[in-house]
Amino acid sequence: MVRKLAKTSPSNIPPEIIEIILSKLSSVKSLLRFKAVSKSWNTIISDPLFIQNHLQSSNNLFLRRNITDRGFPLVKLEGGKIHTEGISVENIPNGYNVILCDCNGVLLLTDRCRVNKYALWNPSTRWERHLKTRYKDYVVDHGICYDKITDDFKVIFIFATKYAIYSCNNDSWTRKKLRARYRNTGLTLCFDPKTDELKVLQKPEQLSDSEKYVLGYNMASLRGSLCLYGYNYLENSVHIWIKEKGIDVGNNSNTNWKEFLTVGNFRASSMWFTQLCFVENKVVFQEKSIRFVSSETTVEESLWIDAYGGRFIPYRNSLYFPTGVKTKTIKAQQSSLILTLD
Amino acid sequence: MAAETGTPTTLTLKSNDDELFSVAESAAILSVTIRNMVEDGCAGGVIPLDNVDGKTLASVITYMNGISAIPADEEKKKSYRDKFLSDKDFETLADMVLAANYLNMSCLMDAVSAKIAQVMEKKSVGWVRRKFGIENDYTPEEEAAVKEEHKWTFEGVETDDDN
Repeated sequence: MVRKLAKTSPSNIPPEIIEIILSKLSSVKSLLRFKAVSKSWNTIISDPLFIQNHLQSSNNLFLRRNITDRGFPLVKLEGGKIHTEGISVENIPNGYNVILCDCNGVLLLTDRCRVNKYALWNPSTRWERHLKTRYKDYVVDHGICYDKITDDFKVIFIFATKYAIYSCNNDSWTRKKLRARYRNTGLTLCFDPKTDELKVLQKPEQLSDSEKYVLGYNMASLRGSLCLYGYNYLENSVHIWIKEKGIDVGNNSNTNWKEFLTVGNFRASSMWFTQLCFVENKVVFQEKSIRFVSSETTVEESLWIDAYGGRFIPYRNSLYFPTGVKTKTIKAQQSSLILTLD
Repeated sequence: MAAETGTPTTLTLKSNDDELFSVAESAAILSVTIRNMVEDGCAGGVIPLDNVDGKTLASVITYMNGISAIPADEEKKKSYRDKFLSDKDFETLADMVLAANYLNMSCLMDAVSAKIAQVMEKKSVGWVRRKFGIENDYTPEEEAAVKEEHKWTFEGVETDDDN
């Protein structure tokens, strides 16, 4: 048996210190394994707050959205260089080849050759769930969101006249009519996971100057806050506005946007359609190259990624998904997930 | 122990196994616990540290002296910490994390807990239970179910006779 009386026996490490130690462990694989140590370790590692804090650690990794014969290429940006690694193909849910979007390390996948085939996948936990829909309409837009309050991931598909929400916790679809005044208007809508309703998002008034912002604007999530960014063609600059946490995105006022960053002397190509994200304390732009911009206003590093083309999304070590405990039986039930919107 | 100021003050620390250590006050006050005692004026005689043994305290004082000799350069401090911890075994690290917690030394606490996490990375569940003295409170069925759920995480783990 263990020498419990030994003076140096570490058995007296209290739970709060164990939690600090575990919080330094970034490997999802190790953390999931250590759920088997004891019930209290399982409780620490499964705690939503622990999972949320664990996600904060950025690892500078990006996944290409389109599959190659080696899987989804994974690139690491470090010290002005790109290092390529490969996520091995066997871990990718069978038959999926495009990453549509991501939330907290959970990816929405589809098969570019087939309509209405979708899956959620967390490459860190290797958990996947297939979302079968029978719906054949054109998908105008889609998204994933995470509702902290209910610890639930929701997937939203917007069609021409309706939208559908998939809830992981309930393993069920909800469909709703798209209000007539939202259709074909060019409005930006945001989804509220609490009510499953869509709201109009008011943009910063500067963006309405269509002479400057010819191609409009894009959205991204920066450090958990919603941000809008646009390319100013007259001044060759990128402007980023951010909604600070706790501010209602559906509010009618457009004054609660905060100017976050202006990057001058930034020549964008005509294809101003790029993802924006954070790597450590830098904003990363992607177009033909990946550019790092510090919180100052100059471009610090430019990395050309022509070899891959395509777009990248941040890859994060994430303990999110599956949520809760009731997901265990889902695999057997996947054939019963049917979206009936007609 | 070169002193930056005119009159170097030396403190005497006493471990729980009655070993006495002299340490410059400027280094010792990295510990918030000790700093509070100094500020409250109760550091005049011997400072008893009831939760730290002599071996661990010697190690902590080596760290205090080493890190406080480095000017404000986070890179250099980090590499000192890495080097300082590189040859420590798990038991020593465990003692140090408890000491750092008791002495309220956040920089040492962060470094040691990160080092322990790094040591744990490829270790088995049995190794962790033994080293941390954790009692397995799962029933065999529950444990099998938890392991089954994340089966792949048990691949490539260092072999351990206890698991």
